[in-house]
Amino acid sequence: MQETVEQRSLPPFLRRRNTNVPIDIALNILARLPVKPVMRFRCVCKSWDSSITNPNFISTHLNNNNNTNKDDDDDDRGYLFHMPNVITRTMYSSSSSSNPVCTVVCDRTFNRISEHPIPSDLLINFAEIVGSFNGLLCLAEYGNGATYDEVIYLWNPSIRKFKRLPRTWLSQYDWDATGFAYHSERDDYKVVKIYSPSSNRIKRPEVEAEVYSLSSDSWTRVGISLRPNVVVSKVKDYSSASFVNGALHWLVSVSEGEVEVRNRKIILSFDVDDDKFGEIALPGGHGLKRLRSERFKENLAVFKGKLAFITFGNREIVYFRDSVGSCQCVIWVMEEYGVCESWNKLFSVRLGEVESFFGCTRFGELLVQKAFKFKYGGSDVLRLNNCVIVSLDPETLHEKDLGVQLPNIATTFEESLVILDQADGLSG
Amino acid sequence: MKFCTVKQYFDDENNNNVTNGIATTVIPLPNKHLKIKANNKEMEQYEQELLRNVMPQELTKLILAANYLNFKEALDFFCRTVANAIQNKSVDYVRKFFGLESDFEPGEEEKLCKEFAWSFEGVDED
Repeated sequence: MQETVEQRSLPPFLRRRNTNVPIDIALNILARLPVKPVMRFRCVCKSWDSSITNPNFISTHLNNNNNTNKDDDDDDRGYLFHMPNVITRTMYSSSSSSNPVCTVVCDRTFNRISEHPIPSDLLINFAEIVGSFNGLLCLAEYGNGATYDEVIYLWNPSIRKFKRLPRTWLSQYDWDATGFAYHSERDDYKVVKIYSPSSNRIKRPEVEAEVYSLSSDSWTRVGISLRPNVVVSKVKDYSSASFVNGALHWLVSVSEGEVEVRNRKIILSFDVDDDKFGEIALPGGHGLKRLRSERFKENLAVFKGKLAFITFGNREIVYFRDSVGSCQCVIWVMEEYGVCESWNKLFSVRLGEVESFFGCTRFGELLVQKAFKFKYGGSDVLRLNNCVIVSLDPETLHEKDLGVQLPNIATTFEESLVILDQADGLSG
Repeated sequence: MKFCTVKQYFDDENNNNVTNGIATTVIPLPNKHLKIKANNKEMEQYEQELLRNVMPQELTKLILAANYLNFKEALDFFCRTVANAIQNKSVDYVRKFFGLESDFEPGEEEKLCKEFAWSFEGVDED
């Protein structure tokens, strides 16, 4: 082959006919791109397509994004999700934007909102968002035994790909709670279902559990064995577990021995490494059954990376036309994971009336739904709906009205290519 | 370490435009890195300056040079720059840039593109 004059003047390594960038450098470049162009460049050539859909590249791409976002104050990670339910969908279909979307509120100031269209064949009506890791959401529909079926999906909104988990159920049991976790060493995603007995034929009320692992794409029954004679009798309905320290956590009631009277509350933990259940005591006297005189909400959450137990005690005082409510919010944080003595009462603050709690942001703000009190003839703006979603800083008591619809969950979200390498759509 | 490769590089070839281009761009980088190691913003500005006069197509040659010289920081920098440059570009642009050709079966490529048509929205005109 004749070398051109131009080629002769090049240094040896550039003189080869093929001066193409080697594939590993091309991937180095691709791993720095946002999800949208990466997906588009699958069409460049076959080797790019197979490299992009390879689990190694998906991990590299994810790690790259995690590293760039780490210390940024203005990072793109979102905090709050809203999944429309079947009623909202009907509303949407009659408006100009006819496709239902999942809304993610982004960044620290909650000012940026991104929307992700829900695939039309992702059939779900009342979706609970169980959790989110690496851009992958776990959606659960508990079903109502009649019109709505039970189903669990793993969905990555940024690549618009989902996977329906294989069906599973236990006869004579009702599925009551779920957990979604990520095992980083094995790069595996797990879903835990907790069931309560529905039949009277089951003598002793005791919950059962099943665990799904994405890498095996299968469910396994897992026994819950705590201390001798201690069984978990009840789990908080439709609760999604809090993931911290490599384990999932739910608030549950246990009964000890044959005596049903001794119903206590504890934290049930599930370690995703050895697939074993354990228990953690609640702080102070919180294990005991509470009197019904006070409306009292108890929640588990993750507060700045630590397991937290947050309670809201509501006291309602009704005057003439004004309804003034307030509540005492107490935040306990487990400073040293697993060590009960390390429960620390971090905050005890008086707030306006809190209706619901959605979780904590990574910076320690609480996301709550507050009842909005309005006054007749006052200078306050009259709101049409009677609730408001705010982020609340327990230190400064500064509140920010988020101006969003009723959220399902507060969790972090980022773009990724996770599950791109999985088989398409439906499964099981 | 790096200096041996650089010397060999120059010994391999006489001075010419391409080598000069690479020399002015790639070689000064390690020194500059040491000088302004702490300050990222300053480094970014310096990098922008350096590349202002370089056409995107030249970047592939710079990348190959940095790779050959085993110069990680420069390679990182050039890859980052290329990533920013091609982010909103079309598939055709990227093919030309990297000197690649489509090797899909007829119809295969269309099918693939259709699957994620949403990723083609908002792409720069070629």
